[in-house]
Amino acid sequence: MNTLLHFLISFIIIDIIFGNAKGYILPIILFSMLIDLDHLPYLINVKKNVFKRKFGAESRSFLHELLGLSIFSSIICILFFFLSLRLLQIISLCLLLHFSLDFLFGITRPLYPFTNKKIYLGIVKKEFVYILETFLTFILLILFLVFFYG
Amino acid sequence: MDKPKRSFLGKFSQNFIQKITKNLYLPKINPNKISALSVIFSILFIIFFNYSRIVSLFVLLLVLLFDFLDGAIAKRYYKEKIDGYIIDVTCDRISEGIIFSIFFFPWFFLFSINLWLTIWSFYSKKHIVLPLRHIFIFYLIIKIL
Repeated sequence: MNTLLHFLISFIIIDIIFGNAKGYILPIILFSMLIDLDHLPYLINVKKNVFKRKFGAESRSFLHELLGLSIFSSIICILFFFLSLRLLQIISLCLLLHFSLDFLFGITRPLYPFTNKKIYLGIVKKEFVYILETFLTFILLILFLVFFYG
Repeated sequence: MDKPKRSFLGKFSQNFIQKITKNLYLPKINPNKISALSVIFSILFIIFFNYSRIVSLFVLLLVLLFDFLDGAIAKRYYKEKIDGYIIDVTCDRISEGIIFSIFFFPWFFLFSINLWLTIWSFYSKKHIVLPLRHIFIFYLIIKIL
């Protein structure tokens, strides 16, 4: 799923649950998109062919998989003693929604680097994932504007 | 690649599930899709929690039901594979994480331990994880009542 969609879903769900996503817009932007930074080394490697290639399982590092989630969750547990509970709830929710969307709709390697086994859940046929992604981004963008300015 | 072996308690619960579902009709659905449903319903659980505790409890029961069903269906119709194991544990952890991110203390800490246990299980080939959502549902019932 694209980075914008990760942000939009996190924002809308957090607004429904906590009611004040606008007040936490910066942490939501940062932590719903943070994990996608691990695509950068892949992008640098492919350079000119970047538009021909898809962001498959290889474009993600271990930070995008269960090991990354374990590291992030441990850091959040340590931060519990220093930051406000609401902020930590938002950070953890942003990260988990990112992981869940990628796992539900993309090809992932959940136990990488221990195994390279690729997993695709098959909820949506692979050829329709991009159509669904575009459609969802469009719908959620409208919803976001309603939530933000409404 | 072999699946991690279950502990005595894990084997006991698996045998128990097999006995319960022996005469039960189970639809032949891809168990991976049922695992995915448990993640989707976990998101629904946290959305409903602020609006209706009873509805959210029902949604959480559905999450556990899907978790129960995917294993039972995989056992009956499909040969259990390592892919199924990876999908099952990943869906379980993501589902736990989503649920516990709003309850936080001490649940998120236990979730973090469970994540490391999952990785350790795969590394050591011994399946050891905490049944956190099962414990949590009792906690929630007591809290609601």
